[in-house]
Amino acid sequence: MNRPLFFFIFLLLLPGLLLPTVFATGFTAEQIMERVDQTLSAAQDQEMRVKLVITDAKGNISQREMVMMQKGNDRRMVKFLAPPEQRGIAFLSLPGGLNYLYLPAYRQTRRIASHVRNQKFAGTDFTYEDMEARKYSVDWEAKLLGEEDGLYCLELIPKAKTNTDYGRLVVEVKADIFFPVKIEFFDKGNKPHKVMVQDKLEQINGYWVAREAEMKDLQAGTSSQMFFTEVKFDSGLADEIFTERYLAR
Amino acid sequence: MKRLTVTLLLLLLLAALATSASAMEWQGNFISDYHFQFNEKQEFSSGSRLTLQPAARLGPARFTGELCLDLQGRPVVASPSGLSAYQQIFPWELEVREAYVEIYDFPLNRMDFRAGRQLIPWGAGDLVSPTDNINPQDLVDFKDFGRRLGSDALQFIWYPGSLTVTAVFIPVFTPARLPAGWMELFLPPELAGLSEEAIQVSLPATTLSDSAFGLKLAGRLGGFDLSLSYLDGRYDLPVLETVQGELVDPMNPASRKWKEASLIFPRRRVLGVEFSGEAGGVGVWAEAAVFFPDKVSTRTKLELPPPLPPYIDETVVLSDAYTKYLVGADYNFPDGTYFNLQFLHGFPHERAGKKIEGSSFFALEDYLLFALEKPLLNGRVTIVPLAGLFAVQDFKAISQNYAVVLAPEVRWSPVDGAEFTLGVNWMEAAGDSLFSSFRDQDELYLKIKYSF
Repeated sequence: MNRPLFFFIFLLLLPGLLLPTVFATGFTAEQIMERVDQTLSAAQDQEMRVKLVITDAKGNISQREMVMMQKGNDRRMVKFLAPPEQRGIAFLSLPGGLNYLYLPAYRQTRRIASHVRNQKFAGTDFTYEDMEARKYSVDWEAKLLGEEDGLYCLELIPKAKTNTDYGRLVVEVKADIFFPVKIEFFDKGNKPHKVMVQDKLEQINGYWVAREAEMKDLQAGTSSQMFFTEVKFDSGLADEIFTERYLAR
Repeated sequence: MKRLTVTLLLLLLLAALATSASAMEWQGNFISDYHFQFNEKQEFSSGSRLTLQPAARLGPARFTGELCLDLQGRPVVASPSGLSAYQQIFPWELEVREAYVEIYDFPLNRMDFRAGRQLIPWGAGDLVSPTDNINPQDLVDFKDFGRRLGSDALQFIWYPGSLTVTAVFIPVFTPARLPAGWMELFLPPELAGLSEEAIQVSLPATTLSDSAFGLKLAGRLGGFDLSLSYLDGRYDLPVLETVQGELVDPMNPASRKWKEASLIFPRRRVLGVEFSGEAGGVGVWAEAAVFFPDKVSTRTKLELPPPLPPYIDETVVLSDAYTKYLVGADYNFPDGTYFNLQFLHGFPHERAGKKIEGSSFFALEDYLLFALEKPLLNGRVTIVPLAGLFAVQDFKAISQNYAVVLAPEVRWSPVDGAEFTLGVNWMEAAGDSLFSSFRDQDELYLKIKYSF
C-alpha cells in the first residue's frame, strides 16, 4: 500500500478510532447501557414472587421460593419463603456495596463482607453480587460489538472502582425496548463462567419485565431457573422496607 | 404432673391460637442425635429434639414462638416403681424458648415493641460474644456452646434516622441452666460432695432494684457498623457466698468437713463496644466488654473443737473490673471454601476474680476458635475438616494447661429439608480448665435433621 492511500484510509477510520462506536441507530454503547438502566429501574419500585428451580450437575432438582423487592436501582431486598430450612433468610442490598444478611437461626443480622459476593446465594447459581441492585452504566465500561436481529451486543468491562468477581460481560440487549435478554459472564481469566437468559418478556403497567430467567454455570454444569409471578410495579414500597429493621420481619 | 399440666395448657393455647388466627404459620425441625464415646467408656447415648416455631401476623403485630421438646434417649429408672412410669422410661422436657408478641411502630413511630420470652443476642462474634450477656446460658450440653435460654423481657427498638437504639427491661432474674452434676464441675471438690439440701441457692429478689436493664446504641461510621451497649444485670452463674463446716482435728487441715454452703448471683454492670466491617476484602469484627462486678466475699466458717473459737475467713472473690474481648475475621475463597478465625479472651462462663481452690470457674482464659468449611456437589455436601478451639490459661506453661478441641464433620443434604451430619469431638487437655473435664469424652456422632 502506498503511503498517500494508507493516510487516506487512516483519516477515514480516525473518527471511529477516537470516538465511541456508533452504529446505524445512533446510540453509543454508553447510551445503550444508560437506557438499559432506565428500563430496569423505570418503575419507582417493584415487588415479585420468585420460584427458583435449581438443577445440579447430575440433574437433581431442588426448589426455592422468595419475595424480591426493589426500589430505584440501588436498593433490593430478597426474602426466602421456602424450603423450610431457608425460610426467613433475608438479604438486603444497599447503595455503596453495603449488604446485610438476616439468619433466623441466630436472630441476628450480619454485615456481609465483599469476599462473600462471589459465593452462591442460598445454593443457587446466582451469587450475592448477582443479587445486588446495581447500575450497569455506572459500574461497567461498555463497548458496542454489533447489532443484529434487533439485538445490540455489548461488551462490559468493569471500571477501575468496580468491585466485581467477573472479568467481563457480554450483554445482548433487545434494541426496541432496551431490555437485556442474555448476559454472558466471564471470569477474570477470561473463561466463560455463566450465562443468563431472560425470557417471556411482558409489559405490565407500561414496564417491561421477564417472566422467566435462567442462569447456567458453565463451569459447574448447574443451572437455576427463576419464574417471576405476582409482579407489581409502583406499589409505593416504603423506604423503611429497605432497612435492617425490616430484614427480620 | 405439674409439668404435664403446663405442657397441656401450652399446647391448648397454641391450638387455640392456630384455629383463631388464620395467619398462624408453623415451621420447625426435628433432630435425631446419636453419640458414641470411643474412649474407655465405649458408651452410646441418643436423643431427639423437636423444635416448633409458630408465628402469626395480624396487622402491625406479630406473635413468634419457639418450643423445644427434648426426648432423652436414656431411661432414668432408679427404682422399681420407675419401671411403670412412662416419664422415667422415656424422659422428656419441654422448653418454651421464645414466645413473644411484637408490635411495630408502637408506642412511637419507628419504634418496635416486644414483650414476652425472647432471645436478645448482642455482639458481633460468631457463636461467642463477650457483649452477649442478656439471655442466660444453657450449659446442659456444654459442646453446644453459645446456646441461650429465653428471657422474659420488654424490649423497645427505636430507629431514629440511621441509628438503632435498643432498650431492654428484664423484671425477674433467670439463672443459667447447668448440666447434671454441675457441682462437681463448678464448685471446689470438697463442696461438691455436699447433699442437695446442704447447698442453698439464693435467687435475687423480684423487686425493681433486682431487675435488669440494658441499652444499646448502634450505627454506622466510616464503613463500619458500630455499637455501644450497657447492661445492668446479674451473673447467671452462682458464686459461693458462705461455706460452713468443722475442723475435727485442729492440727490436721484434712479433717475439715463441710456442712453447708450458700450460693448467690451477684450484680454486675457490663459496658460493651463492638464493630464489624471489612478490611481488604476480609470480614472483620471485634468486641470488648468491661465487667464491673459488685464486691462479693466468700465467708468461710469452721467450727473448732471447744474451747477454741470458730475460724472465720472472708475472701474477696469479686471486686475489680475486668475485660473480655474478641477479635475475629472470616473469608470466602472463590471455590467456596470458608475460613473463620477468632481470638477470644474470656469464655461466656468465665469471670475474673479470685480463684477458689479446686475450681476452674473464675479464670479468664485465651481461646483461638477456628473453622474451615468446603461445600461440594452444589452445596449438597459440606466438609468441615478443621473446626474447634485451642485454649490456654498461661502462655508461660502451655504444656501444663491447655485444651485442644477438634470437631471435624461432614454434612450431607440428600434432599431439601433433610441433613445428615457425621462428626467427631476430640479433645486433648492438661490442667484444670473446664474443657479438661471433658477430655475423656471423645465421641463420634451422627445427627439427622429434618426441617419442615
